[in-house]
Order: sequence, then C-alpha cells, then structure tokens
Amino acid sequence: MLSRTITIKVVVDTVGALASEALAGNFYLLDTNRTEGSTGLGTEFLKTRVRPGDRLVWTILALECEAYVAIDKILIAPQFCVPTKETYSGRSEEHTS
Amino acid sequence: MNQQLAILIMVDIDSAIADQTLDDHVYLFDNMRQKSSEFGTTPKLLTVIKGTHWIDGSQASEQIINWLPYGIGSISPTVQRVVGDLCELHPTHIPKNSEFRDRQNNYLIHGGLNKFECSNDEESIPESHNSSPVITNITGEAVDKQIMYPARYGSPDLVTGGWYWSAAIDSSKPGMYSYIMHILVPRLVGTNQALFSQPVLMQCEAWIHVSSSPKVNGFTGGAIGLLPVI
Repeated sequence: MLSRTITIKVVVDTVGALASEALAGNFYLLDTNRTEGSTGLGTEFLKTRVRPGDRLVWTILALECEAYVAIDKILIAPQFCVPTKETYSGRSEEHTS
Repeated sequence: MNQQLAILIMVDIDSAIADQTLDDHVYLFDNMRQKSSEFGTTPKLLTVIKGTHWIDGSQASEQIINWLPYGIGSISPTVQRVVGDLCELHPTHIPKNSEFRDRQNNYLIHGGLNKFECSNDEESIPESHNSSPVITNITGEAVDKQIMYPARYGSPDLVTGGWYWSAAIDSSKPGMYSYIMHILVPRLVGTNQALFSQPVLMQCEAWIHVSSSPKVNGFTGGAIGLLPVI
C-alpha cells in the first residue's frame, strides 16, 4: 500500500491564549484526511486516521499574522511514530546590477 | 482604535477540488471567540461585532475585519519563499508511469516549483504544490445593505502574497447579516509533462452579527477611559 502524507495543522489564537494564560479554548486542529476518516476537525480533539507507513507533518499557524507561535515538542507513544523536528531549507540569491 | 477582527479561512484544497465545492471542506475561525463569536471552525461562522454605541451612549466607531485564506496542507505562510524554488517536500502520491515525467524520470512542475529527480517508480509530488486559496471578492447581504464595505489591500508583508481583504463594518446598524466570499482554489493539472496550478472559483457564506452591546475596554472590561497604572 502506498504511503501518504497527512498534514496536521494547528491554528492558535495567540492573543486569546496569552490573555487567558491557557491554550485550552484557544486553538484548533485540522488535517488533510477528513475524507478518509479523520474526525474532530476544527476542534481541540482531532483524531487523525492513519495507516501504517503514512507520513505525518505537523505545522502551526497563528490566527493573527502579527503573532508568532511554534511547536516546541510532540509527545506520542514511540510504537506509533517518532516525530522529528525539521526545518525548511532556503536560499538567497545575490543580484548583480 | 478598536481591535481588528481576523478571520482565518482554512481550506482542505484537495478535497474541495475533488468535490468541486467548499462545503464540508472549509473551516473558518475568528479571534473573537471569547466575545461570543459562534459556530467557529465550521463554514457557518458568525462573527460578533459589538458596539453600536459607547457606554455613554455616543456613536461607536466602525469595526475592521481582515480575512486570510490558507490551505490546510500548504506550507505555512511564515516560511520564506524564493520564486522558482521549493523549500520542502511533503510528498503526495501520483500514479507511476504518469505522463508528468521527462526522460530522466524527473517530475516537471511549473508555477514556481523546482523540477524533482525521482529515485523510484512510486515517487510523489510535493503536497506543498498547493498554493494558498485567494479571495477574489466579498458580496452578499451585508455588502448590499451597506453594513460591510470590503476591499482588497496590498501589504508589504508577504503573507498571502502581499494581498488581503479587509472591510469596515458600520456598527450603528444592529442585526445579523450574511456575506459571501468568492475564493479561487488552486487545482493541479497536467499538460505536456508539466503540472500547473489552475484556479477554480468557489463560494463560501458566513455571517456577522452587529449587536447593540456597548464597547468596553479590552484590558479592564470596563468603560473606555484611562488605563489603570500600577
């Protein structure tokens, strides 16, 4: 069976979380696998349906573009998967006139 | 100045394209949940706009709303992009022996993405081919009744490509009003061994509820005035 990539997106109301000093009630979880059985999309109780071999990618987004938020750690039983922190590579180009 | 309201539009792009509709494939959030915006995270977002008058009875100012659309599977907008370069691969399977390979077994992807070398027959294209959806217009009851005055603005911030939609709300007219967002959703299509992003126009409806509750100081919860100095 072919592996799939499923993106799990965390949307955080950063201002709300800082104002209430709690993440509860101020974040939402989504993934790209609703049509294959994921439930709880848009809530704090997402259940992503996966198959052996699937690749999961977690990304995060602040509700307000001026705010900053990042995932510090993902805790999950190692028999299911071992998350690793990756970075997007980038490059710059030198322009000559 | 009143706190500006932000409405995030999260689109499950691949599912929306497959079903040719945003129904069940779009999630709306705003930053007024603590102030009783309802139905958040579903397509039926009702954004609460308080304050037709100040607590002393004087006319309240207009309310500003900003909309930002994103794809659930797309690379986060905070990642710096270089035109013609793709930073990371989030592979999504496409059939082997597809017509999108060149003779060197490379996938050819246009629209600002690199050509990728494939190491095996079951190679895949990056999920991050999904550009973010784009709002092209905002219409509907709220606009027709001159409650909402939307427009597209440019921004030096490259979030959503430097464009965003914003609207001023006439907060002196309490009531519930609907509005429609016209959204272009990118669909990956292949032609001549190349993949292109083709926009598909879809619509999404939401509501605003202008209430007659007085505006209050967001820090103190009390009347507008000097902040307490500790």
